Amino acid sequence: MIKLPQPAWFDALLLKKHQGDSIKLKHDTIYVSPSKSGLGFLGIAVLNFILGINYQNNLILAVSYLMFVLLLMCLIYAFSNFNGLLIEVAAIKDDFADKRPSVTFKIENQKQRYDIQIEHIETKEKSILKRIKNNEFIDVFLPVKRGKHKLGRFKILTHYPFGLVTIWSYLISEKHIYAYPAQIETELPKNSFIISEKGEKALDDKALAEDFNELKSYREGMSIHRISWRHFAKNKELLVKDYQSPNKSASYGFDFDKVSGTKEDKLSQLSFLIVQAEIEQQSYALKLPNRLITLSQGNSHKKQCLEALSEA
Amino acid sequence: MNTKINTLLEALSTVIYDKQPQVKLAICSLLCKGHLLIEDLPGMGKTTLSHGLAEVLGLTYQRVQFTSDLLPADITGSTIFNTDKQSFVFHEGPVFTQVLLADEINRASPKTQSALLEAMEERQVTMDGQTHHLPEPFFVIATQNPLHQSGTHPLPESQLDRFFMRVSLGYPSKDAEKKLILGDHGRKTTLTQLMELGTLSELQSAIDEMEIKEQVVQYILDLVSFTRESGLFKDPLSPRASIALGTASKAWAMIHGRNYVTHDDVQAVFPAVAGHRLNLDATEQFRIIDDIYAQVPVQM
Amino acid sequence: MKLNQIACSLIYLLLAWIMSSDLGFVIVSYITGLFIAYELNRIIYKKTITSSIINGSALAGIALLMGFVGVKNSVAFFVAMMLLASLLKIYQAQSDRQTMQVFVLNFFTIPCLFIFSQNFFSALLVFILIGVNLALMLIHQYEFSPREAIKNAFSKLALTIPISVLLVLFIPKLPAFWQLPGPNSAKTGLSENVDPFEISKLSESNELVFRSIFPKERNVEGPFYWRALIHDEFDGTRWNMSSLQSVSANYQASDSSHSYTIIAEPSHLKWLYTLEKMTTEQDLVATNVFGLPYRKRPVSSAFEYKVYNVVDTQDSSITRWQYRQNIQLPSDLNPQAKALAEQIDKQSNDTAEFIALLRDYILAQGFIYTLNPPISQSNDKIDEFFFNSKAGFCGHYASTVAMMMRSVGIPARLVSGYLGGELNPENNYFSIYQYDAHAWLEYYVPNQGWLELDPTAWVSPERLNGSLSQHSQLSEELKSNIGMTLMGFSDVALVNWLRLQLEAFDYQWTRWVLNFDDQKQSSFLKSIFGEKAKILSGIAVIIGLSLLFACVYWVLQRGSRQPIPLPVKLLRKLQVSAFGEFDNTKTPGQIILTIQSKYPKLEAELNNFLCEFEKVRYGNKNELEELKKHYLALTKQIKKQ
Repeated sequence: MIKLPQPAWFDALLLKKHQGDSIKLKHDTIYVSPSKSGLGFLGIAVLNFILGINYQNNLILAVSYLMFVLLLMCLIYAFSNFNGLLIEVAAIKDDFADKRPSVTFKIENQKQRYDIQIEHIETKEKSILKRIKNNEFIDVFLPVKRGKHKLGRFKILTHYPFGLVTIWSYLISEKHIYAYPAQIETELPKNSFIISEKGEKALDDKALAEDFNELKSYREGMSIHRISWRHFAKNKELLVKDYQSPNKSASYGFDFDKVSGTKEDKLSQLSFLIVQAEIEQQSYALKLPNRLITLSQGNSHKKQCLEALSEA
Repeated sequence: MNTKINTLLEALSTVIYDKQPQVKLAICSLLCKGHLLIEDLPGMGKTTLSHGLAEVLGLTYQRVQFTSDLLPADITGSTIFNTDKQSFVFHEGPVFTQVLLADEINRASPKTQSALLEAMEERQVTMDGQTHHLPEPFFVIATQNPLHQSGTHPLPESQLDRFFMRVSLGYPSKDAEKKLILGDHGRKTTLTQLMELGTLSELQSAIDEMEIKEQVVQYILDLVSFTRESGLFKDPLSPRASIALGTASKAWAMIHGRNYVTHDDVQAVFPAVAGHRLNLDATEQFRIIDDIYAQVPVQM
Repeated sequence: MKLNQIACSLIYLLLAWIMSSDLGFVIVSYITGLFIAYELNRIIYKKTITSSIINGSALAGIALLMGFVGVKNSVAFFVAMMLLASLLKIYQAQSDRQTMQVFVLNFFTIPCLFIFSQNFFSALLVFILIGVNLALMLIHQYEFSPREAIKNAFSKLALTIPISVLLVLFIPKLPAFWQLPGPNSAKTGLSENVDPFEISKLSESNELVFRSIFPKERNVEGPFYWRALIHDEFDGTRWNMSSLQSVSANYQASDSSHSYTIIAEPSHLKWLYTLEKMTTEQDLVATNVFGLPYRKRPVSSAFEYKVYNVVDTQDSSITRWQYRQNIQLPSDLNPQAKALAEQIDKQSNDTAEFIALLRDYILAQGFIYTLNPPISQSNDKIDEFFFNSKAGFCGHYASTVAMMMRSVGIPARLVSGYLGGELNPENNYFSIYQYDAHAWLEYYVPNQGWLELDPTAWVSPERLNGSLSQHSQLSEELKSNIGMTLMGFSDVALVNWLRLQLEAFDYQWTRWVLNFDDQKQSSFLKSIFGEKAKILSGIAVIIGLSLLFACVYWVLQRGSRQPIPLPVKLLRKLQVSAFGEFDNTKTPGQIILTIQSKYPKLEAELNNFLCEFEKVRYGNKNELEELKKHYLALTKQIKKQ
């Protein structure tokens, strides 16, 4: 396709028509042009025409007309393949920058269609559905850097039937996607435990009711209530009872200033620590230079922390 | 068929007021040979419901109160040395019954929970290399407190779908509660057996013959694939859930005296069948499920 | 990827094979060789083809084509190069885009067949190959199964074919912009210079040269000597074309109606055919001083002209210059023949007598007619033929007699053209094939002008009647020369019938399809649109096309929607009538419930409707009467409120 310089008014027009989290494809939101192959095809049709005229050869001339008609037919088929689709941002899957932050589109559809492609214009990342019959979901992977990004422009296109035409539309979403800092494995920094009266108390109650799982060596900051004094008496080793129940057995406070490295390294390490804490089902708090997230636990808390890291 | 089920319903409504849909779902689950999980605060009539079901069907009934110190053997039974016969004898636990009410299942330790869930799935107990089959029918009604209560062990997610349905009774209506206060208490009403065992199994096999049209199957598939592909759910529905949805819809249609399944039937059973499998909170599931309905078109 | 390569190789093979025999042979063997080599390479060494192998193959291919086809034969060379390039490209293509380029280029490569052959079967083949190419594009891009792709591609193609035919009919034709070279095919038959002694075997071709259509009522009788070229320069063995061949002359038609029509097949030569001196109204055809038609440009596609006989205004005397030209002879060659000619000349009083004596001599000597004459190493080739081998075909006899006449001062020149033709009695036309090519001579008699003489007829009088294929003695020889074609089996009645049917069909094809030129078109358009034909037909094309596309679009959009069953329609209407819009996420029960909340009084009616709806839509009930009744009752009630 030919890339024309787009004047400002054109951009404004596009925004007006295509902004939003869903778009219904119909005559005024669909654009059509021959594809690169289509231009080649057109050139060959012209060549055949010249050949047919010069040799006064009706059959070559007929082939040339056939090619023109075929190209027009392709436009109709492509339009019909595209018309009436409803494309919608169904879900935004935030993820770590080195994983797959992606957007899920829902395609509402009731007939057989072929080759529906969605391309993120900024990153040129493309997903293709070769054929669909009912409603479908399609993931578009966005290889973005750490941070909070506006989803921006998506181009929805198809080359069906023969790849000779391109027919497309846009969806411009104002929603945001987070690319969390990639995780870097790291040791738990010192003084990361939060000793709070309330927290400890709850812990003790629990400890009584549960089978303990294993003994771990004591590290600074761990609750002294959980030290196995029996073992200490035997072999002078400080061991901590680790309980099977992951619930609230410790609380962490992660501090931006306590991890080492560049800013990105620090964020990446914090990202790792948060994920680990969540796996262990510990509560944790997060302190960033400009933000403090208080002690809590659970998926929404994790999301909040990771989003804060992305935005930092 | 329908009349028989209706008499059951009428009888049960004399003990549980005002809870028609939940009672129907419970019967639905029973007809599909699936186990039922009731999630509610204490004192909502869970025990009454399960007891009532056992009585009207004339089934043997056991109730086990789960506590944190309950051991697996306390449910499945244990092998005991019989001094008279000089041999080990298997003592059947409370699980060897037709209707088992597992009260407050989330109070027990995960090990004990697992023992019960295994028995539910396999319909047998293996002890010291010997397999003991559970009676037919075997129907577990487990109750659990909402998760936020302290001192509970939530059921492991992977095992939640051993339960065919999850329902929650909720607070009774004012009228019903008034009746309760006035002493017209369900426990005092005695129920008599209203259905033979053979009739129950007849009903159970009749479910397979229900008519289900293409567009309804498509709707079930659309709902299930929505949970998988929308990315909104951490634990989307499994193929087992699709099958459960199909049979539950059929049973629901049968309870309503029809021999065909409609879209409404699917919607009626969907929250009960899918709610716990999607790991939704019982209190907020209706909002989310309404969202799903709004996203999945109904092709009549 | 593999499918693309195999399919494209097959397409190119087929094209090369059909385009023309000698060109085809080289390319077919080369493509087959490459193809086998690639497949072996893949199967045995499990390697992909490196670019050095591709480049090597390309160079080898170019060398091969240079050797066998030659740059001189520019069109064939170009087409062959394109076939090779496409073939190599499809093997080399790494990306989808490169493969697509080849597919797009195929739309040029495939119709190139029409430069070489324009019969119905070529047209059918081109159509099929284009369809296959489209199907390959579908398979390549969207992972269609081959069956699905073929179905899809051909259904789309089938729709475009009638439209393009209409376009050919209605879009006014343009004149040729410039001249393109035609394929120089070395065919037997007419050649501008006749040298019978160079040919050891006259490999005959059964290709059609032209057809002549006589008016139905006219009874025609042979023999037909179709004149095409006059050769008046002789160098001892070879007769060169006359320099006057393309000098035009004006003749007056003697009759207002034409005597016959000729449809010439593409010969890639300028020369056309006629029985007698002629003229025609066809703009592209001129008549030369010999009264023979010719074109300014080689005939590259089938071409039709009407022949009018002319009043012979040429006086029967010839100029001195012409006389010299027609008795010119290399003095030192063929002494024996010259001696014999002089001897006969002495015995005869006039030209007629000379010819009669010569004829007697030839008949007495037991000359035979053969398509496979012995080749001579001697310088005096005519002597060699006339006194030793005594076997030859038309060229030998004509050449010898003309030379002998010249040696005694009788002006003589060679004529080449065709003799005979196969009559199709149904349509009263003759088909003239390449194997009907013939050479004879004309000699000049003062006061009588130029007279025709066919010495071959002395040796083989049957040759005069009809086509060579009907010649009883020679037909065996001919068949063995032609090889395995339908003609070769013309003894079998069914085969012969089939051949004639195909021939008749091809006649109509040529007449109406290939020959639809601008004159025919304008008379056709005039018959429809009247005087302003060109403008009106342009408008008609535009309107017709846009109507057609609108129809196609409408059908596509319509076909895409699944038909809504009546019960669902009714329910939707009900919802729309109650709420003004339709919500596709609601179940029937919910719809009824919402309507009920708006019209609480209709509860019973609504439930009846729902119950009936469920029965017909979800259950097995088929009768819709009751549902309609409920619906009508409901709508009435809703309107009332």
